[in-house]
Amino acid sequence: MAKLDEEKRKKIEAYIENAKRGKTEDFGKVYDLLVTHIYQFIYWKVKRTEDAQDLTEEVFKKVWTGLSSYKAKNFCGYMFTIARNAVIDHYRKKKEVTSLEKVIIVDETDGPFDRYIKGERQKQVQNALKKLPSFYREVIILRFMQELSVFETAAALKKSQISIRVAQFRALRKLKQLIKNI
Amino acid sequence: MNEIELKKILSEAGEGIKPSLSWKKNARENVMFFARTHIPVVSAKISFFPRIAVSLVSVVIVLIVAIPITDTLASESKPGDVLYPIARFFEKAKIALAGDLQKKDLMKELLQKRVDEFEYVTQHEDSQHEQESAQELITHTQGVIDNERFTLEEKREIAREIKDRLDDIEQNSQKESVSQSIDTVNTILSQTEVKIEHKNAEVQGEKDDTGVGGLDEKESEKIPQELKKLEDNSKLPL
Repeated sequence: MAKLDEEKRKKIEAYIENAKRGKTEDFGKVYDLLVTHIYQFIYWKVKRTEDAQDLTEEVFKKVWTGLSSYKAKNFCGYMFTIARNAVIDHYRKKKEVTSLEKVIIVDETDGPFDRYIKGERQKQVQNALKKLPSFYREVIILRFMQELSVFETAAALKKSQISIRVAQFRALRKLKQLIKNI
Repeated sequence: MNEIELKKILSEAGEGIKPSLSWKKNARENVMFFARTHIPVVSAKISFFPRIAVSLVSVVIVLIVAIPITDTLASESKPGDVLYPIARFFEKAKIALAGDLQKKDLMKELLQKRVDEFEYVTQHEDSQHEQESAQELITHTQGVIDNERFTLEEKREIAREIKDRLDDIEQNSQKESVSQSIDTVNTILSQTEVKIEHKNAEVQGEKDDTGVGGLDEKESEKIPQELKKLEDNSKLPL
């Protein structure tokens, strides 16, 4: 997955400005750049492929509908806030929580032993992640899985940057402890 | 596992979840169709200060509309009506806001109104509100008689008018309580006559000093005493 680097962020802001002026095609370009990130974020929270797909589509529609009210120069943060709210609404409507599907990523270039080790570690991380408090988990997902900046994470979670830094420190420490215990 | 390794695994775990290409394509089509068929909603939010201004303007408009309506409705109320205290409030406000000339006319007009109200309650034998109306009449009469905006001649004129009307009410009512209230009002009104006599006596005294004539010493002393006695009587309970 292409990371959300600075160049990509600038492109997104420019496309969004055009989209606000009615250029729907530019909104399509924003979709192309962000859909995987939003899908992943939602997937880690809802833990079901179908729900993640439905919610991701819904998030883009919501963003389009409220586009005129977007003023800040932090579209990624804004987008993840909408996604987070969509997940919260989803849980309000549907109380049941299904288990996280096991997602093991293996690099085909690795040998069988390396693949086994990597797979085991990823399992450990996933299990530990499930045990983290919700806020810490969100910080970990946004900061290390989606690689958002502290500023963007703070905007997405509606917290101060200091509180994100503190949460990140504590979440990593807790995650390491959990992995040790598994 | 150190922190760098952990971050790397987290990053790989993040990358591991990928939506299928077919879903991405279908979802894109859906989103684009939605974007083409839906205009972004222009937020109707009003910022904080304009919101306050809108609220204030609304309140002012409501007051502008409501005050005259309430005043009109309340002005027709009689003692015992729900709107009567509101009517009295508006009257007080009008007196407070009126200029000197209008204040005199307004006070005269309102005194007549108090007499009308008193007549109304006595005619309808509403003993419950008779006391209330009588008290209002006494207070208002005292207010006019004590008011320095009115000259003694004006006060005398008002006193005559009110006395005539109260005589009629007393004759028609025949009730002891009504007579008592009217006596109290009449006592207050009589203060004007006493004051005029006192003033005339003073003028006469000045004339005597210059050899023109007037009251003797004993008569002059009697007038302030008589005035005090009348004032005390007017304060008696009904």
